[in-house]
Amino acid sequence: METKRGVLWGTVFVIIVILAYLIPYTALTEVHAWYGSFLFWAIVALVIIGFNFLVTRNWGK
Amino acid sequence: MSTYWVWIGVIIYIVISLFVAVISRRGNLTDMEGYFLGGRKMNGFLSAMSYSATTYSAFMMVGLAGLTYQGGVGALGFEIIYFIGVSLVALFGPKFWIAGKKKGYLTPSEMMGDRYESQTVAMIIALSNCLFLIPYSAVQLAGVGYLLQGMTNNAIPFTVGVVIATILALLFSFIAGIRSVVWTDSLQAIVMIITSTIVVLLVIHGLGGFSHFFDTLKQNHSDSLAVPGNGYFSFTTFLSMTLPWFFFSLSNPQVSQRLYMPGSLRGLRNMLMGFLVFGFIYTLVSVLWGFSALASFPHLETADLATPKLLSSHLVPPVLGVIVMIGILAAAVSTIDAILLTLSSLFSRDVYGNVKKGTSDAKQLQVGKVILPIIAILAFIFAELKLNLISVLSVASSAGLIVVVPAIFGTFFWKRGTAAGVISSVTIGAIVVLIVEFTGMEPPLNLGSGVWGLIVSTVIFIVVSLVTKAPVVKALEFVNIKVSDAKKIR
Repeated sequence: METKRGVLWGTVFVIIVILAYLIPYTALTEVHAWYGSFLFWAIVALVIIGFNFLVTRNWGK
Repeated sequence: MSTYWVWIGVIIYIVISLFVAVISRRGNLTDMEGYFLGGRKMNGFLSAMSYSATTYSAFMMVGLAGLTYQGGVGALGFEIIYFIGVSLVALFGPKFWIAGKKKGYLTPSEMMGDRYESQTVAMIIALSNCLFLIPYSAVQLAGVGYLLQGMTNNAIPFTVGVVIATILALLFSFIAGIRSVVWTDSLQAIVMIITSTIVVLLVIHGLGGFSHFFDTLKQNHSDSLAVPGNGYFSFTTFLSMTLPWFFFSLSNPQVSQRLYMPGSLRGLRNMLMGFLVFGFIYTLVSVLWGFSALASFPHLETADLATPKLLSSHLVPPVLGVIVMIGILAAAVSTIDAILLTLSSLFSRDVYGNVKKGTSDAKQLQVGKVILPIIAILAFIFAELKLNLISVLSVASSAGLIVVVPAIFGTFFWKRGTAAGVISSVTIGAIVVLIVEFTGMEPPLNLGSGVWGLIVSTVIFIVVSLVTKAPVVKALEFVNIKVSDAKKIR
C-alpha cells in the first residue's frame, strides 16, 4: 500500500519537475509580463507546498 | 549610510543574539547526541526556523538579487528548482529519522558507513564535505566583510567584518552546540524575513506600487520577465546551475543532519512545512528586491552592487537600511555556525572516531569542541587571503557535494549498492568536479561541473557496485524502512 502510493506521488513529483523546467522555456518565452514565468514559478512553489502537505499528512499519526 | 548607526545596529544584534545563545543552555550537553543533535528532541517550529536560517545565507538578498538584476526572472526559476528539490525531505526524511532513532547515528556519513559496512565510506564522505564546505564558509565570512565595508564606505574595514562574523559564528555554535545554533538561528530567521519583507514592500510602494513596478519592468526591461530573456539564462546554463541545488537538501550535511533532530515524525513534518512557507516568502522577496534594483538603477557596473546601491538609496529609510543589513549579516552568520558545528561532528565522529579506534563518546565530544575553533580559524584565514583557489572551491561546493547523492539514494533504495561503489564514485566524481572548476575548461555539451559530477558518480556507483559484493543483510535493513515503522519508535 505504502509503495503503491509512493509510486503515484513520485510520478506526480517528476511531472512537476519537468513542467518547472520546460514551460518557461517553451510556452512562456515570449510572455514579457508578471503573469508569465514569474507567476508560473510562483504557482509551482505553491503547488509544491500543497504536494508536501498531502504527502506528509499521515506522518506521526 | 552612517557608520554610527551601523555600529549601533551591529552591537544590538550581538547583545540580543548572545543573550539568546546563553539562555539556550539547557538539557544534556555532555554527550555527542546532546551537543550536536539536541538529544533528538527538537520541536517543529524551532527546527523549521533554524533549517530556514541555515539554508538561506547572505546569498539570497545579495547574490540572488544580483542574479535577478543580471539575468531576470530565471533567477526565480533557479531558486524554485531548489525549492522543489526540498521535497526530497518528504522521501528521505522519515528514513533518516527512523534509522537515526534506531541506531543512534550522529551524522549522515556515519549512517552511510554503517549501511555500506565500511569506515572508509564514512571517512571519505566526511572529508569531501569538509573540503567543499570550509571554503564555502570562508566566502560567507568574506561576504560579511564586504557588506559592512560597502555599507559604511570603508569606515568598517573588511577584516573587522570578517572577525565579527567568525567570532559570532564560533560563539553561537560553541556555547550550547546545536541548541544555541537553533535558538539564535530562529531569532535570526525572524529578523531576516520581517526586515526583508518590509523593505521590499516599501521600495515597491516607493516605485509606484506593484502594477506600476511591473509595468516599468515590462517597458524598460521586458527581457527580464522571460527566459532565456537577455540570454544569461540559456537552458543549459539554467540546468547546470539548478541541478546541484535540486539535491541540496540531501547533499549538504548541515541540513541533512537536521533530519535526525526533531523529537517526533510530526516535528519533522512541521520542520518541512514551516521551511517551505518561509522559503516561499523569502525567495519572492529576494527576487523582487533584485527587480527593484533593476527598475531603479538599471546601469550599475556590476550586479553585485544591486543590494548596496538599493540599501543606500532614498527608497530605503536609513534606519531600515541598517536593520536589513543586520538581517543579511544574520543570514550569513546563521549559515556559517551550522556548517561549523556539522563539520566538527563529522570530523570528531567519522574521521577521529574511525582513525583512533575505541574512543569514548566523551573523548569525541572533547575533540569536536577543539576542532570547532580550528575550523573557524581556517575559514577566517581563507576569507582573509581572498585566494582565487577558495572562491573556486566555494563555487564548486554545491557541485562537489552532489557526488555523494548516488550513495545516499543507494543507502535506502538499492540493496546492491556497495562500499567500493561509494568510495570510487565519491572520489572520482569529486576529482571530475575539481578538474572542471580549476582548469576552467568548457565541459562537454556546455553542461556544468555539477551535472558531470552527478553523471560520473552515478555511473561509477552503479557499475562498481554491480561487480562487487553488497552487505545484503544490512542493505535490506535500510531498504525496508517504512514511514509506518515510526509507530514502533518511542
